[in-house]
Formats: sequence, structure tokens, C-alpha cells
Amino acid sequence: MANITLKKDSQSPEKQTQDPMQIERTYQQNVFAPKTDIYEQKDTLVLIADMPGIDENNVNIDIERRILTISGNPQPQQFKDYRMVYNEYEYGQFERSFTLSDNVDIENIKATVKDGVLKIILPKAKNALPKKISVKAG
Amino acid sequence: MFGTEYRRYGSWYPWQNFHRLQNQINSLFGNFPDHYSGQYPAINVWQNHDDTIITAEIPGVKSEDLDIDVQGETLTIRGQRKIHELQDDEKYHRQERENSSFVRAIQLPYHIDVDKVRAKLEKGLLQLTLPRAQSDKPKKVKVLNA
Repeated sequence: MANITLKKDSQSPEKQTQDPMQIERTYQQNVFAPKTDIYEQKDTLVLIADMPGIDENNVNIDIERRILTISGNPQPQQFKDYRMVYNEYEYGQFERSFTLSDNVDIENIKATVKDGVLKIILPKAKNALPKKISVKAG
Repeated sequence: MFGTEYRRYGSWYPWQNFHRLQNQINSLFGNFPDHYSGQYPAINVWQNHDDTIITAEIPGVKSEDLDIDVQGETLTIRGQRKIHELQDDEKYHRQERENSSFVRAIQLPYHIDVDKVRAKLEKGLLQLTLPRAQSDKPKKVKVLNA
């Protein structure tokens, strides 16, 4: 299980939800936006993000004012006594934010991580589930 | 193949500005490092005297869907990744990940000792250690005092 923190009463200004690559940063490290799928099921939304190198200990999920931010900080690969001779991909952190619609039940969000892929299950709030209204003959 | 040769030529390397321009253009389409060949998966390579380590990011690929062949000087990585198959009552809001099957062949500058190759797949990171074959190692020549 990944850590999920809920900050509902925070007064901080609303976070930007753009692509992190576009945000000016003061971090020293690279920050990448993980490739993400979001699909809707009958009573849940599922978010799946590719974050190679992360496990349950170095991934964070924050929810603040209905903005869901996923972030991960994998250990850069290093090998003692070896010299890097060819380099096609860079190391860095992952971070990306999404705005949740009102119909997500943020108290019951669950997350798992496997094979470097983060999966977040976002249940729909009860009152957002479709209701059947039966019509009686009058 | 690990051509870092041009760095030797320092600041007057004539193609430097061309490379810079190309990198800037590339960065419009995604953030690829200088030498990214565009092949999947992207690899990083480390070497020491006897071994080569190749790493690749392949999130979501399971070890049973990964096939690694070593022959002579050539390493071949084959694999496939399956993403969630949508059921009838499901729909995508956003889809950026893909089903993919990939093949990548990498040629090393020496014969690989096939029996000593080690592969590790952990947290979506593949790590291959490819030792140099004994027969391919350089022979030391002793210089005798005349």
C-alpha cells in the first residue's frame, strides 16, 4: 500500500495542475510526468501511472483541495567501479497532478504499486452513483 | 556503438551547434537525452574492465513476458506489455500508456560469456550484467629486460 495523505483544511494556494515539465521549479533534479491512464468503471475510477523504480516506500499520493498529486523519488541507478558509457534515459523524480471531480469519494482511495506501475482506485461517492428511479403507474 | 568520441574534440567540435539545435528540436517532442535512438526500451550502459551493465526502464512488464537472448556479441531483449483491457461498461478518460511488444538488439564491443549473464527485473527496471568472455580478454604481454 502506498501512502496517501489527505489535506483538506490547508490554506495553501491551489496547486497548479499542469504538466510538471511546464512548471518553473527550483528543484535540482529532473522531474518527469509519468505516463498515465485513467479509466472509469461502474463505481470507480482507476488511475494507472508508469513510474519505474518506485515501490511503496518512495511513492506519495497527496490530496489537497481535490487535487490529487502523485510523486515518486526512485533511487538513481549507480554501480560502483563502473563508468557510464552510454546514456539514453535520465534519472529524476516523478510528479503529476490531477483535479478530481466532486464525485470521487476521497476518503476511500486505495493505491498499490507493482512492477514500477502505480495503480490508484478512486471510488465514486455514493450519491454520484447512478440511481434507478422506478416509475409507477399512477 | 557507444560513440562518445566527439567529446574528445572539445569546444571546437564542428557539429556541436548542430547537436544543440537538434536537441532543442527534440525537446519540443519530449525530453530525450542527447543520444536517444528512439528505440524502446531506452537503455543506459555502464562498463568496467570485465563487465557491461545494461539497464532499461520497462514498467509493467512481467518477467514471464520478457525474453533475453545472448549470442556472440549481441544481446537481444524481447518483451511485451499488456495494459488493462476495457470491459463493456468501462471507458478511458485518458490513455497514454500503450500495449507494446518490443525487440531491441544491442551489440557489445566484445564476446559475451553467455553462461555468466545475469538478469534482474525489479520495480520495472531491468538490469543485465554481461561479462566479457575469457577468450576475448586482452592478453598481457610481459616486457622483459634485455
